[in-house]
Amino acid sequence: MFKKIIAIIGICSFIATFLFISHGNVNVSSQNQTQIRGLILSPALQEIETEPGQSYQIDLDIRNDTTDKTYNLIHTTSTFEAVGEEGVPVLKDFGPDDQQKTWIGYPEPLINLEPGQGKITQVTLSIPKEATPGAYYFALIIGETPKQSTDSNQVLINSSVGTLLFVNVLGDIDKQVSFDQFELDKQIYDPFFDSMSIKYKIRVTGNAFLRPSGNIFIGTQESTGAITLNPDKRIILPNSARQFQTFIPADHQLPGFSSETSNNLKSRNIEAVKKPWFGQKDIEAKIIYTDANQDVSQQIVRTKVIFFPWKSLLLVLILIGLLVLMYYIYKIISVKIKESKKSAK
Amino acid sequence: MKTKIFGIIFLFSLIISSIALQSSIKIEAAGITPTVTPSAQTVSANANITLVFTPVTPITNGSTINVSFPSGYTGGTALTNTDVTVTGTNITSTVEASFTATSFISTLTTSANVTTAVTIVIGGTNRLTTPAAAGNYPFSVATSVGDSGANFQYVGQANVVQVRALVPVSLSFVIRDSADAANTNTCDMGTLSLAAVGSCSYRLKIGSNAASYAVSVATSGNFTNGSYNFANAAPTLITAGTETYGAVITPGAVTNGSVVLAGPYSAGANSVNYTNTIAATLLTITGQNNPGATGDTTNTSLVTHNAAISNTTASGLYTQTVTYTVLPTF
Repeated sequence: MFKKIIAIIGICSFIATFLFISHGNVNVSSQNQTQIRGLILSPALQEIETEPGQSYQIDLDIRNDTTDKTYNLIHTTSTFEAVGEEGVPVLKDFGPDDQQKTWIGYPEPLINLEPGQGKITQVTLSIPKEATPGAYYFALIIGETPKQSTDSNQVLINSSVGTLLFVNVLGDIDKQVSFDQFELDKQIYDPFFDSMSIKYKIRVTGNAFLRPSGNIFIGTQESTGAITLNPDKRIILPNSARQFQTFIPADHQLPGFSSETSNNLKSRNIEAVKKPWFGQKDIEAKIIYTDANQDVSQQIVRTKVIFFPWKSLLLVLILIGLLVLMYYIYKIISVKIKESKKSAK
Repeated sequence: MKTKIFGIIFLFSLIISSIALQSSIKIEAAGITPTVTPSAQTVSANANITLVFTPVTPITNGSTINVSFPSGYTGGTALTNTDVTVTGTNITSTVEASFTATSFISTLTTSANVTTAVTIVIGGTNRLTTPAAAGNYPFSVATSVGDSGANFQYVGQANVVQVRALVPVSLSFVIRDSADAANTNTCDMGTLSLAAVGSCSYRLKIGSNAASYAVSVATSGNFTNGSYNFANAAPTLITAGTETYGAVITPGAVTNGSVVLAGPYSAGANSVNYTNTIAATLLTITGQNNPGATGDTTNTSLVTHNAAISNTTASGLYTQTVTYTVLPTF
């Protein structure tokens, strides 16, 4: 009887242990599908690389997604600059020397949109032949016309939405890209129980904006897959840097080891990546960007890390210890049962 | 007694008639759905083709199976008896003959009725070659006992439709009242008094499928009656009796990410100076947002303007214009 009980306990503990190892947390989320109301603008971002002397017509899709509000809208144009390393635009008025301030035109500067009404509105971009090669930025804004105050102490509120237009005027263009930083959070990883965090900063110099692509490889691409370097296809302005962080979650979580996963870092760019289970490996990053319609590849940085399943080994040792302990408990109980039977006789 | 006997005979005859009628219908037609393997094949491919069907009507000894296929397949006339095998439970042997460009006939010798799956493999030394043109090509099977049916082999991915669509990044923005119940463009503090802090609130309701975007704010300047400007918060917890004007911004959430309130506007319950005339970043949002149509006080951000007057605050009508702009990050 005792033998059976101990056998059952042993089997249960094995099953529980393996279930614990093989199942991580499963997050189930649902997203409501209700309609978003308000002023909708699309696309939100555009880029053009062109020779001087060219003209373009840009279509903006604007929609009044309300049921009871009429929008009286006006087009305005600003330039912008990047603040920090997150690509957040901050609007700026054109300076007196900004040659691009006359490049944008609106055939229909004022737009009225009734509830539910949509419209494609045109924006013209005319680049003069004498335009200086380089990068130019525009915020094409569509907003409510200012309202008049009434007879109360009040704040009048206007809403506007904008699309960002990036223009590289070709000619004497200089595109340079480099890594300012490439760091891993650890030097030794347990491939099964450790997450990996790779921070890197890409700097663009020269006089043109870039949308760099490329990959980070762990070991060789064939064996482990590749991490996309710029998963959201971010644009980096000249003479600025952009901070990125890639997070490869742990396959499993052990109690006492906090989950480092965050929404921001649960990247879309690491699904194909598998961590090697053992050995010293190169972590190598490669940047690719387009210059004169050619892909330019620069192999920039490489660092070494060690993969060693020390937590996994520790877990196995603990399991073995538990089994040994259970065996000895079983032996002690068996002996005691025999002794009690003998004494009963 | 006689009536009862006639009644019973009548009933029997009715039952027998209906059974006979049903039997005759069964014998007339029986649909089968053969499978074709491979179901998808490249154009001009020379490979075995396997048809499997389960007879609805039992196949008896000496029955025939007529297999036909479209004229686009080549090699039909070169097939021989040894190039086609027909197998199944109770099938002891078969003879294939009458090969044409589009059909052949198999005659079965059976040990008993065949009621389970029959497998026909077309291909041995000689095989059929799929058509050069992509298309969906039917293989049909008809037995001499009345079963018939057909199925397709999809050649050259003619059954594949590539669906492509570009989803552009879009931004939506509307100012709503504090309960997200109605659109608004005003924040009315009413008549201010020494005894209370005047305040009004509204919500910034932003939706986007972009990975990240930002809200900037620019104002017309001071809260003013045209000649007298309110003292501004620095940030300050505004209290009644002390002239101060400012705003408290409570960032909401987004359905798939996070919202960060810019440092100059983050002061908890204290009001911040809200008079910048140059656009400044107010909120940076990472992740898509899909707020509810109404009443969503979670995935929207609340702005509360507060004003208190003192004994020295000049009388008059005070106003300010605030413009919010939503832009993508890049």
